[in-house]
Amino acid sequence: MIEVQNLTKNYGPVAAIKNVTFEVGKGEILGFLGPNGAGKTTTMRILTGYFPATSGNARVAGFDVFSQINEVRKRIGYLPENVPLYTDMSVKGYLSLAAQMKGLGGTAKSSAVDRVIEEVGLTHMKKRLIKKLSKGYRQRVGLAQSLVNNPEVLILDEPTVGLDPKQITDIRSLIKHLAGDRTVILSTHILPEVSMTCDKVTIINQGQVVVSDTLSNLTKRSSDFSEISVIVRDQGKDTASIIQSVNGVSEVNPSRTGIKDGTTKLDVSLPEDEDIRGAVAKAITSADIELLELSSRQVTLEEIFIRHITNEESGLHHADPDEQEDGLSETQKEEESE
Amino acid sequence: MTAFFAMFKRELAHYFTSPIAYVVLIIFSILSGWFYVQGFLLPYSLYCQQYDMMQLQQQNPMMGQMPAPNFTELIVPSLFGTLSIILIFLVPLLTMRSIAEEKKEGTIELLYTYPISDLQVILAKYAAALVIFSITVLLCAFYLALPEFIKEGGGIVEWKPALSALLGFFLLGAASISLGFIFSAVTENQIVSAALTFALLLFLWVVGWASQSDQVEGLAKTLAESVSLTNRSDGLFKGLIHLSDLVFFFCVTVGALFITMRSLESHRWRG
Repeated sequence: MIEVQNLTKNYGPVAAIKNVTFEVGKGEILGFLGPNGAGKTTTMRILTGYFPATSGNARVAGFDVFSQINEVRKRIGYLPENVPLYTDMSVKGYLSLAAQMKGLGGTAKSSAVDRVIEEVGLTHMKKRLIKKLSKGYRQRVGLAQSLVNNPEVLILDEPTVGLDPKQITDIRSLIKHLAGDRTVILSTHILPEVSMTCDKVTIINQGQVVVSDTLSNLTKRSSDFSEISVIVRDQGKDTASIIQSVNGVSEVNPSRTGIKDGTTKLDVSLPEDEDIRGAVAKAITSADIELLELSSRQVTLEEIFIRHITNEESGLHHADPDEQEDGLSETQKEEESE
Repeated sequence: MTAFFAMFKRELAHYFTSPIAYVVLIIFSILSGWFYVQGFLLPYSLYCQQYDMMQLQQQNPMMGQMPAPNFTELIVPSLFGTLSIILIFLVPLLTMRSIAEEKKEGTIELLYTYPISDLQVILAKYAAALVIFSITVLLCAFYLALPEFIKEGGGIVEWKPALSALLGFFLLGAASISLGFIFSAVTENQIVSAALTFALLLFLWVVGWASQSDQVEGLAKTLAESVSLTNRSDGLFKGLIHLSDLVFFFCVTVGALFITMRSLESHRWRG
């Protein structure tokens, strides 16, 4: 549905994005992740035809965003980051305007407006002036505006920024509900947002795609038993070196999260091709240390994100996605040996 | 076309909700009304009275030196000359927010991503500003028609020169608004936009004024005469329709709107 190939955009001598490549299939929700200033908005603006790229290709809904931009514009809904609205208009008036701007007239317009007002839950607010609405409701108006032409593709730039926790949850579930069979690109720098709403993740940093994969592939390491965490009550014994001495253990790190009243938490990396959790447990108990917990550790999106960003900054980035995985574990090793 | 009319209606409504339309129309009515009555209508009726008295005293030696009062000739050109100065102050108010506000509020980002062309956006906004301005033209038409109602029998106003004056006023306003649009498009600050528009219109007026001075000669004089908007409209106010003046106003308006469009597009290559 969306194909982006080697997209580059220069602002004068500065490259905002460099060779950005990714793909989103029909009906997928792509989380577009990156720190502020990474180039998320620039990429989205190119896809919506706000400005052209310096080089590269992009196709949205089967149309080229450079040569057939009007066809693209008819098929997308876009919500810019700062949610620009005509605040002097009423919700309904504004949405009618948006519908007409997108080429809907007459009954098609009125039914589209009524539909989106209901979809985003603005029915009791439709006569209000937009300037009297709270940020959360404005966000809904912005979403309604993007949906009014029943677009195949939704492009949402940080749709939850600046909202309170309740509103954030509301908007997120709304997005998930609205997605339906639409293709959605959702940019954010909030990681849980991605794990809650998205199927696929593209992480971008300093204008370059660092990693692009499905969420499950990213959060799951190659096997369930290669990353474990161990909690022991060791009364000052050196559990780390005991575990380290087990054949096959590659790394042991005291975890940064939670060491209290004589217990120690350790993150342990084990070989991926062989389940040696039993050996680790045996080694601990035979050293007369109380083993309280041994669990497989899910890598969180935060870790992936930080890992990739630091990876990038320390210059270990490789363009090849296969090599990226290597680069990733290298940094992780570095990080964990600290 | 749906998009064009939607934009046009929104702009027109915004003039009234904002409420720039009321401000502009009230200021124009008060100023123009005052000038019209105090500066033109009363002196004219005084003159008429004097003239009538002279005619009664048939032997008065001054008789031959006092021409018969002619409203169209005496009043119309100088009335519109004065009204065009009011325009210099009011046009910036009409145009300052048209595009600058969209840029400031970021709403232009959505316009850029809707299936509507930049030209449609500008023309819709221009048409809305023109409609508001046209209300002042109607008021001027009322001023011209007023003596007809006051004096029994009428026959004071000659309609062809009066219509030419109204046309001149409309063209002058249309060109001034299009110039204001350029400055509304180049900045996102409404005050800067208004100030620059005001400065340009004032300059074009001063230039025309200076061209009438004896100290300006040769090329400078020709140049000053030909670029001044108010110089161009003076002929029309007098009832003289020159093709060159019509072409001039047309070119200024279209040219200014073209520059506005280019300026709006520039974000695409400027980044």
